[in-house]
Amino acid sequence: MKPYLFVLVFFFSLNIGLWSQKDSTNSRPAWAAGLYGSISAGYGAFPNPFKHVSVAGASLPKTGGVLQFDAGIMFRNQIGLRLVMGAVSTNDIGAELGRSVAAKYPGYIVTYVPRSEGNNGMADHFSVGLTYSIPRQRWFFQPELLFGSTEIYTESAYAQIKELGTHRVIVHQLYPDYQDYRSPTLTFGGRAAWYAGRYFGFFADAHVLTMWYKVQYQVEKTTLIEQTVEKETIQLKKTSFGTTASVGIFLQIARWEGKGVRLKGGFR
Amino acid sequence: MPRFIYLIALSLCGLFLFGNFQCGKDDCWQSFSLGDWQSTWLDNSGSEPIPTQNSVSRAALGIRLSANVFGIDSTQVAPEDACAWEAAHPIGQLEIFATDGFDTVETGQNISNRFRLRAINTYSFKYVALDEARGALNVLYPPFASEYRLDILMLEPPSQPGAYRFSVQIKFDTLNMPLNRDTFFTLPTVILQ
Repeated sequence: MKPYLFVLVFFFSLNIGLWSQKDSTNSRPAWAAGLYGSISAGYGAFPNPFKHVSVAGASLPKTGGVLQFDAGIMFRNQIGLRLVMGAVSTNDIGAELGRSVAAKYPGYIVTYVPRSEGNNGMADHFSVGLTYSIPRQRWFFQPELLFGSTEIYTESAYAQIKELGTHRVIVHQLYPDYQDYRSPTLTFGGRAAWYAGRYFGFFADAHVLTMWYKVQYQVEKTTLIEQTVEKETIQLKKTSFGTTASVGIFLQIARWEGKGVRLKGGFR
Repeated sequence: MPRFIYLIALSLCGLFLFGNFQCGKDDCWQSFSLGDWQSTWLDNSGSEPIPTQNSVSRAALGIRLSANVFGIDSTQVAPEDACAWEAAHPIGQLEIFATDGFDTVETGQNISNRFRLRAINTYSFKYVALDEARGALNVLYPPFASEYRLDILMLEPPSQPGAYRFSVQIKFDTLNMPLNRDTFFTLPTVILQ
């Protein structure tokens, strides 16, 4: 989203919120359920292979940014449902692959060179799961557990393995079985949201993301002195954790009012 | 002849002239010449061969031959262009001789088979036997530099440490040209450890 568009939407939403606050009274019954949509931006701290290169195209390069849209239904003090789709800073499996090759040749100098552009994109992330909404005055807190998948770009690569003190070099050509791979994910976290208006508010999210990936590579190993070629299949199998924190705005698209419940301190 | 025939012919000409054909890529194939040869010893004990003084480990000895490149305007070619430059006066043979005898090698013997050319470019990395290196010696790939380099590694070094002398002969296919006359180097004495 263009920054000026974001600012425009933000102030428009703020106006709606302030306007709706004017006619709210303490006597309004509490909401019982709502449909909502939200947008947030934040930062993700992922270990390799989830190296940050770019996010949302080229707008925030090398920031580790996270852009997220979600929608769902929530029920007061009950379990709700949330669907999340977003973009995370792209993952770079190369570092992990380079380490994996280096681990096989202790005492050698390993130079790893990615061959494709897989490490220069934006990875999408989808997940769906359960939330639980706990309202407090103008706030609500929403722990959540989501299941989904994240795109992982694999890449062709070249590794030069050189023995120290001699001319001995082994060249590895690495080709992934699949260029694109989706890793299953489990997200655990929560949201703290504050109603600025009846249908509008701000929130902060914090998540821990777990990924399991298993990527297979075909390796062609050439020894430069002996001129021998050997083929091998290697597999990168790992569980990786990442954390994201983001802030955003939400719009409660529709809400159903409860009956006979009156709350202090606002228009909930 | 109906007018539309002319129109079609004109359109085809336009396509050939302005269409996205590869004809313009002919500019990529140009020639270069070499001159002002120099040499230095290499130490290949690390990740890359580096120039060194006269003392080096036997297992990591190399020779770097370098020359100035004439005829290439590297600023005209983007690194991503699939261009290559061919030698106007190709190197026909690159040979290395033992100035002094060692092991079973006699004085003045051709020991080229103990060496390999370290042929590395954007697309590949190989050790090439000197008698098979003609392609690698005479074609340059991007990124182009004003200096031409040949890194030659000694894969079968002398069995004993000590002082050794080698010489290099470069023979060109085109003789009697002002540039690229056959070149003979006697390299400085190297102390092998």
